[in-house]
Amino acid sequence: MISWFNRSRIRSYVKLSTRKQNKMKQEIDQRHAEQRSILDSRLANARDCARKADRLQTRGKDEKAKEEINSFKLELASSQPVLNAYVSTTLEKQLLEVMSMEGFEFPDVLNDLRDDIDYGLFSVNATNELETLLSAEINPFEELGIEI
Amino acid sequence: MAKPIYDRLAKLSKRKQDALEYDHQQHLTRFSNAKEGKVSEVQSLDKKLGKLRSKASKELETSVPRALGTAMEMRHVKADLLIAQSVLTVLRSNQFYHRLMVMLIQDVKAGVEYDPSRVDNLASSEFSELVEGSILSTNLDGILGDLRAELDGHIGGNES
Repeated sequence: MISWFNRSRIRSYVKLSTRKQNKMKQEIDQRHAEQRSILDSRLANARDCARKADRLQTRGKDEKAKEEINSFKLELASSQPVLNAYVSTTLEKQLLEVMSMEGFEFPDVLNDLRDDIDYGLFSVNATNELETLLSAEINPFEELGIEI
Repeated sequence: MAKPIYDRLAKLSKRKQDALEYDHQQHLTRFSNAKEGKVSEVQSLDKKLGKLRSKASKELETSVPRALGTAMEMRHVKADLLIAQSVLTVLRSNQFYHRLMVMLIQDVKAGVEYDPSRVDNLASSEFSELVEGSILSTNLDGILGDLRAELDGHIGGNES
């Protein structure tokens, strides 16, 4: 059985009245918008630090450039928990949208035929598992050969 | 073990089979359209990620800090890509389920004996390019083998 589809919150959604479904969607939409906004702001700050570090390095001000790189690292570290939360909220938001479609069937119908179907991030169990997976999968620095 | 789908469908009246086929057809269209939209989103994010990757690689030649900024953006795009790929698997499984049901109902109505190769073709066209793009992979290859075994067993049982 797939992890996300096992959650009582998800399973009970289809049984809720339209009014309650809409309320749940609104709450998630709001949370999603807030997380996106924070994430965008941290991204802008980090890019700003990177640009400043580049400028300072070009002018030979290595110490000041190093400070900006440290600020960048701080933005990077502080954005990770928000990114994890954003991914989790977005998964739930998009899943509820799919579940609202007429004719939606829980993957159980296919699981009757086979029980080891993999549904990407929906197969991940708890929040800490999602964090571990994201930090391993979303690491462009390693991909580019940059040591942080 | 689940009761064979083929058996369940064959026991329905013609009227119920028609109604069920119509419903599954409507759902199939709905999920096919939704899936197409999601595929476009995945492609667009993948393209965006590729462009950022090239940009970061070029920046690396002259300035590591600049590449860092671009890599940070890559991280967010990659997250959105993983989410879109995961949602795509759910849409695909629903589309596949309704397509399979339409096909089985039509076969039952036409008095056609279950043909495993048709289900094989249906699945390979449905899931062929999905597996390679998914992080955790979406392995649906085995579904058809099990379904075929279930149906073969059922048909074999009836013949004997």
